[in-house]
Amino acid sequence: MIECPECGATNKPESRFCGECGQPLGVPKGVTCPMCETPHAPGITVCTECGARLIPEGVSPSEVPLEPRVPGEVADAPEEGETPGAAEADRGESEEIEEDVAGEEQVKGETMPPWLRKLEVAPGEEVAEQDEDDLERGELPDWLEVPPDFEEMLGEAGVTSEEEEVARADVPAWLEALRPEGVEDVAEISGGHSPAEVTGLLKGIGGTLGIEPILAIPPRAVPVEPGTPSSAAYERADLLRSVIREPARPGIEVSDRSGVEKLAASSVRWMTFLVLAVAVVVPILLGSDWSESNMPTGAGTQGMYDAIDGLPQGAMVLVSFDYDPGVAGEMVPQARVVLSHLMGRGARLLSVSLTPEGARLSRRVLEEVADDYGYRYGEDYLSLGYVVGVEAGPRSIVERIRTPDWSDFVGAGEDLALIVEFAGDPQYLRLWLEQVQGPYGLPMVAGVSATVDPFARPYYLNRAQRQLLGLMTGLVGAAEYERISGEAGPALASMDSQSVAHIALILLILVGNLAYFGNSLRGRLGA
Amino acid sequence: MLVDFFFDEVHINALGGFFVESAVIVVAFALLLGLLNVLVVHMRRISRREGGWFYSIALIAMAVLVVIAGISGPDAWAVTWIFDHIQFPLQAATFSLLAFFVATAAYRGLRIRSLEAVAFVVAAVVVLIGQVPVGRYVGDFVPALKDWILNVPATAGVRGIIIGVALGTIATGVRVLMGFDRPYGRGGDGAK
Repeated sequence: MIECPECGATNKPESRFCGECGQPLGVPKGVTCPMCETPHAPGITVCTECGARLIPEGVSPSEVPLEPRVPGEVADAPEEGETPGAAEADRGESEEIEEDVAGEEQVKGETMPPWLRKLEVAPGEEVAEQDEDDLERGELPDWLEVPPDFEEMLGEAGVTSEEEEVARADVPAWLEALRPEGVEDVAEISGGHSPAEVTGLLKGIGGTLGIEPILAIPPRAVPVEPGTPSSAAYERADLLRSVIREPARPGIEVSDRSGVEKLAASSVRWMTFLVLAVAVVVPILLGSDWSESNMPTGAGTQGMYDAIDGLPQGAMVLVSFDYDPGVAGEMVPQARVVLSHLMGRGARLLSVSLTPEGARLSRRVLEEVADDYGYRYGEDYLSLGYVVGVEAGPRSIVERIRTPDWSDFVGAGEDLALIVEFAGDPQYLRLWLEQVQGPYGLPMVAGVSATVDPFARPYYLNRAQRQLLGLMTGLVGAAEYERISGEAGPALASMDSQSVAHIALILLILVGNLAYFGNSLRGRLGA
Repeated sequence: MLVDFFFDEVHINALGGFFVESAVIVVAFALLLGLLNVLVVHMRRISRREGGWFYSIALIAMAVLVVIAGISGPDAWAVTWIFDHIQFPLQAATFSLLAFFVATAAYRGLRIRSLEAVAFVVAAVVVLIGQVPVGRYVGDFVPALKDWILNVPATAGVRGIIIGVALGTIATGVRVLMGFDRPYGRGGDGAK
């Protein structure tokens, strides 16, 4: 963890800025790769970027002797081939370099930290350095010369000069720790490429200059054995090769079939249509009434009948006709028989529609049934027509009829006794359930088309909350209601036709499967 | 409106009622806006002579005709004649084709090719015959089996769909209210 020098907050080791105060955290402590200069956390011994061996903590690269750069060497005598003018130009450049270096040293002196300033050469030592600079190449200063009594000193120490040389050639333990992995002959590599010392205490010993060349040797790459392709790979390669070498084939020509062949190909479809049409039309033409005396009743339809039959005289009922002409064949018989029952019970009706077509369809049915029961518009029933607003529409109606503006039709404190919903689409049933039945707790029944039944059934089966007291489904539901109420109507009259049509569908399923299995069997026998 | 849904307080209810009425008015104007948009789109289609542009002429002509016919009210003779003799027969005839498509599907599609297809075909046959009076003469178990199929497996599946849609609606509503989503007007000047 890195501690922020400003606020003292602890940050992750790789953080470059403090997470608390945003101050830069500087170079993170750790080891820097000598090759790629990638910083690493303490304890990492191998560079994660280039694989070079890292210098452990406590061993700074600055300990490795480096040759200092001498500014005066830049202004040496001109080399062979150089013109005097060029030498003068170089000399002029060297003077500029010396001025720059002097300027840099001045700047360094101003910006140099105290600990580095202490390492600066003391004024009294400048003479000695000047003497050393005057030495010829190969000469050593006096302090580096081998003392005359060096052999005696070794004898007193109990070692010979040869042993001392061998001992000096040994790699110390800390250096041995730096040996790259996989490199066993570090000494040979260093001795082979680095010149031996010619003077001083290290005379005759090679490989003493710098450890970077050794550390920079990356680990030997492990040769990868060439993999053996699997048999599946050979198969895929052979398949690809065969596909590539296969000559192009001409396109398949589709012959134009004659009109008779086309008619024969579509004869099955036409036969299917004909079977269904005959199944629907023939019972109607024969005037069959078998279902009128054998029509069973479902629990959902019975529940709807009971909810309406239990209404008190003069109860206010809201009837919503939310369907379009597409499902009018099953919804209009439903609406007709239910309206007859409601008017027979003397209920006051409030008619609305969430679809524009439903408003027109309901108006026609309402007027027909009202004429039968002597209902007067405005007194016994009202038609609000098409109500816009989607979710807001049903809720707006229920909110509005509770206001004093409706006092001519709704009595004081009177509320809806029942909501009757005729839905040709699930969304309309859902709107009434979510926006009115649930929030206001009003009793509700629904007559739905056959396609809506699966979406309405969960609400009807929810016995705990009684969301739907009754559910009437499709033309069959209308026929059941007519059977219960004892008013035979168009729904019951069409049940024979519907029964035969259902039987025809079952036969079509049977014939289709027989043909399918016959073709399969013939194909197997042919194979 | 959400607060009005959860709390039964007079002032909150009044405020909720105001918003409900406002929503109805806004939706009514949205219908008018939709009509204008349809007219503009098809006028542009005619001016550019795009494919099927002559159908756009018929659409605009009928729209203008119905609007003119309905100026005197929805119970006008011209409006009721258009509904009774054009729109209703067309919609009823289009939906009636479904019966013939179902018949074709019964012959071609309901093939017993797998175990799942067996269950599908058996359920279809039981519901078809149990839904009509003739099913009771096959046996009392047929209507009972039909009711079980409709009340248990089918209702379970639909109930799962309804609950899933409800949860998705809640999540969408929360995201819209929190500003994570903008269902309408995305990409416009206001979407920044």
